[in-house]
Amino acid sequence: MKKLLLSLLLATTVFVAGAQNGESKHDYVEGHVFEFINKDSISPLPGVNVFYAGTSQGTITNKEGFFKLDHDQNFKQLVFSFIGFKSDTLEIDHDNEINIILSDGKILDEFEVVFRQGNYSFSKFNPRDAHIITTGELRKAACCNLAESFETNPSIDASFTDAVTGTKQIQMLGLSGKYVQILSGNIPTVRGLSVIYGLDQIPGAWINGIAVSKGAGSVLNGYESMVGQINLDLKQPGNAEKFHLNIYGNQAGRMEGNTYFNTKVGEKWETTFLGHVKNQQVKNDRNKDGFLDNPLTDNYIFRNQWNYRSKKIHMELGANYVHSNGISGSLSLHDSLTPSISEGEYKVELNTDKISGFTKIGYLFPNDDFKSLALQLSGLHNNQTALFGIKEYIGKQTSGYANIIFQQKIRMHKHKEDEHDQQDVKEANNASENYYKMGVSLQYDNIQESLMSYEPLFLMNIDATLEEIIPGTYVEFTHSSEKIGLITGLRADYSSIYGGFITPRLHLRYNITNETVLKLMAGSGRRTPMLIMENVGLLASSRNWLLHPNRQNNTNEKNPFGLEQEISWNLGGAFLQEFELLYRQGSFHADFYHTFFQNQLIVDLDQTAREVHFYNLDGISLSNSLQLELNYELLKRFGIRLAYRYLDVYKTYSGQLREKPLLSKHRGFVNLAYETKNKKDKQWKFDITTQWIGSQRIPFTLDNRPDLVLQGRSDDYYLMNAQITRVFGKRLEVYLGVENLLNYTQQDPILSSEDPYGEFFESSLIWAPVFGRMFYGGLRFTVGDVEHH
Amino acid sequence: MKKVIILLSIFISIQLSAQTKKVIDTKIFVNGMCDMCEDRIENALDVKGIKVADWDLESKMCRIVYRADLISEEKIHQILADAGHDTKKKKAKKEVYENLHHCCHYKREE
Repeated sequence: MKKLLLSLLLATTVFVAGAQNGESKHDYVEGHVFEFINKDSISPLPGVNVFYAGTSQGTITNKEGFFKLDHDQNFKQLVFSFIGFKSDTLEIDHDNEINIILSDGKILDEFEVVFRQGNYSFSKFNPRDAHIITTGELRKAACCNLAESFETNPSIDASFTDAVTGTKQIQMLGLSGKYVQILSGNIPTVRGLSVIYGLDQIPGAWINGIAVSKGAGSVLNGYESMVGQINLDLKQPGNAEKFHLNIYGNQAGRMEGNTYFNTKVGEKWETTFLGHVKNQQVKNDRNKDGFLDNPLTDNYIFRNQWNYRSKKIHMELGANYVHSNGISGSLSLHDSLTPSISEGEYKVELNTDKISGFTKIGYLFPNDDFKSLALQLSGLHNNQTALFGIKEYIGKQTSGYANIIFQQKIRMHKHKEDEHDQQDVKEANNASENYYKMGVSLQYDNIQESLMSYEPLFLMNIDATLEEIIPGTYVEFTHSSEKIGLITGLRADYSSIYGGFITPRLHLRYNITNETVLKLMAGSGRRTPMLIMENVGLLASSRNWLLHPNRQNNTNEKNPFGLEQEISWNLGGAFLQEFELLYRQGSFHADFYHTFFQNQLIVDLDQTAREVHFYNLDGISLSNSLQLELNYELLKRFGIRLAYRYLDVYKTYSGQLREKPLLSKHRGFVNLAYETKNKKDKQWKFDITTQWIGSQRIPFTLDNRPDLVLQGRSDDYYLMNAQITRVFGKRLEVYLGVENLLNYTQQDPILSSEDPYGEFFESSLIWAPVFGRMFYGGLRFTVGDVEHH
Repeated sequence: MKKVIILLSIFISIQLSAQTKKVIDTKIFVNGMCDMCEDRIENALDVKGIKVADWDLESKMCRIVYRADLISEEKIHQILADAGHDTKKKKAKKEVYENLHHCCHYKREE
C-alpha cells in the first residue's frame, strides 16, 4: 500500500467539523469514500453507490473514491452501498465535504480512530490477533517472493527444506507453514502440492499487503487454519498503479523482473496484468562441497485479473499461470545432459506447471441494505515433478472450490415497520453492530503422488491417488462495539475420507482503554497431510522412507498412505498497549499461544540416521509460544522494533517425548529503520535487521560414520540484513542491500557430499544459511498513483 | 541484546536531558482539506526544533510539540504559510496557494 497519510479523527458526527468555515450553502454534496485497510491505512474505494435514501437519485464513486451529487433539500439521508457488502446510511446535516471510511460496507463512525502514518501495525479493533504488513514494510527488504517477505517480521520465520534446492519454508508458533492457511483475496491458495514450493511462486513485487493473524482464523475460509492465517492482497484493479517495474539482481547471479500494469476498459471493467521472470545461470559453490549453492532457475509467472462493478454486481475474475524450473546438485552437471551416476554426479530438478483461476461475485439485495450475498469459486491444476538423484517424484493435483456467503446485519431496535425511522438507523450506527454470516462450501481435491526410486533397497515406491470431497456449512456471528468485539463461528464438514466433523472458533476483544487491548482466542483446525510433497526436502538424502514401521498405530483405510487427518486445538491470548513517551509513539505487544495436536503426521528422524519414519501421532504433540514486541519511534523518522520469542515444541517420537528438531527455542530480533527528511519526494531510507537464533536440536546422527556424527545441538548465531533505498521521486527508487552481512554459514551442510549415492548422504539437516554474505540491488519504477487524487 | 538495551537507555537519557529545555505542546489551526495536505503540512514541519507535527484532517488542528529555544511560534506559522497553508496568524501568498494540487484548494477564510 502506497502510504496514505490521512489523519482522520472520526467522531460520531463525521462532518460536524471545520467549524472555522462559514456556513455558505453548496448546491451539491460531495466527498470521498475510503476503505478501511487497517488502523494505519485506508484506501479510496471506487464503485460505491451513493444515493439519497428511498430514491434512485445517486452516483458511483470514481477511482479516487470521490462522489458529487446535486444537493436536494428534500432528502436528509445518504446511503452508501458497496456491492458485496451491506450498506450504511448517513444523515446530511452539514455542507462540508463528506469523507467516510467503510469497513465491510459499514461506516466507521463509532470509533475514535486516529489514522497515523505507518507501515506495520497491530490491529486494535479486530478481535483476531492480526497485523498488517504493507508495501512500505515489504520494501524494507528486497523480498523476491512470499517466502522471503517476512525478513522484518518477528512472528514468522523462514527455514530451509534442504541444502540443495535452497527452498525456503515458513514457520509460525514453531510449527511448519503447512499449518498456516494462506489466502489470496480471502480464497484459500497455496494448498495441497503447493505446500512447499507455492510460496516461491508468489512474487513479492505483486504483493500490496499481507495480513498475518496468529491462531485459528475465520470459519468462512474453511477448517485448515490451524496455527494462523496469512491473507494476501495482490496488486489488482483498485490498488495497482498504472505501471510498475521492479528489477533485481544479486551477487549469486539471480536476476528478476517484476511488472504490472493496470487499465480501465470501458465504464465498468478494469484489468491488471502481472508478470514475473526469474533467472539464474551462474553456478556458485562457495563452500567447495561440489554442490551448487543455489539452483539454476528459469521461472515465469503471469497473472491477469478483471474487475467489474455495477450498481448491483461486483465481480472479480482472475487467472494465474506458473512455470518454474530449477536445477541443482553437482557442480559438474551440464544442464542438458543426464548425470553420470557412475561418476557420482547428483542431479536435482524441480518442475512446476500450475494453472489456476478464480471468480468472486458479490450481489447486493436492491431493497434490503442489510443483506448481501457473495460467491467465491476457484480451481487449479498443478503438475509438479521432482528428481533427487535416482529418486523420481511426480505429483498431479486438480482442485475445485466453491463458497457461498450470505451476510445479514441484525437490527437491534425493531421498531414498527417505518421506513424512515431515522432513530433506528442512527442507533444501529452508533451503539453496537451485530451481524451473522452463513454459507455452504465445497472443496474437491484429486491429488496423485508417485515416488519411484531406482535404489534397490528403497522401500517407498508408491503411486497413490488421494481423492477427497468435502461439503461443508458454517455460521459466524460478529458483535462489535467500541469496547468489545466478538467473533464466534462454527462449521460442520463431511470429508469423503475422514467423515463428519465440527470446527468451532472463538475470538474476543476487549478494549480496556483506548490504548490497551486484550484479545483471547480458541479454535480447532484440521488438514489432510500430503505425505511426500510436504517432506520433499528429505528426498535429498539417502534416508530410506518407512511408512508405519513396526505397525505403529492403526492406519486409515481410506487414505492411501493410511494417514489420519491432522487435528489441532489452539488457545491464545494477546495484549496490546500503545503509548506516548517523550512525545513519540510506541506500542508493546505480547502474545501467548498453546497448540496441541489430537492427531498429526509424525516425521521421525530420530530412530536412525539411515531412515525416516512416518506415522500417525501416538502420544503428545504440543507447542507453546510466547512473543514480546516493542515498537518505538526513538528519534524523528527513526524507529526501532525489538522482539523476543520463546518456543517450546515437543512431540512424541516412537514413545519418547522430544523437542522438535531444527527449531530454535529462543529468538531475538532488532530492527532499526531510519528515513531522511522528505525533500520534494526525494528521500533516503536505511533499514537494518539483526536476529539472534538460539541453539537447535539436531536429529540423531550417532550411527553415521564417525566423521559425520553431528553434535546434539547447533550453536546459536546472528543473522544481519541491511538495505539502503534512495527515493528519487514518486517514480523511481533504487535499492542496495546485503543479506547475511555477518557471513555466518553452516559448516558442511551436506554430509557425505563426495558420495551422493552412498548411505551417508544427507542434505536435509539445515539450521543456518548455506550461502554467506550476499549483496543485491535493484530498482523500482512506478507510473501513476492509486491513492492520491 | 544487552548492547541494544544500553543503546536504548542512552537514547532515552539524551531525550530526558533535552527535557530541561522548554518544550511546548500545542495545537494550532492549519487550513487544508485532504491527505495530500496532511503530507505537505507534516513534511514542512519536519524541521529542527519541532519534535511532533500531527495534523488532523477533520478538525484541521495540528498538534505541534517544539523547543521554544530552537524555533519560535512565529516561524512555525511562517513555515506553514510558505508551504501554502493558512493559519490564524499567517496567510499563504496567493500564488503559493494557487500552485497547490487542485484537490488541496481548501476554502480560504477572509
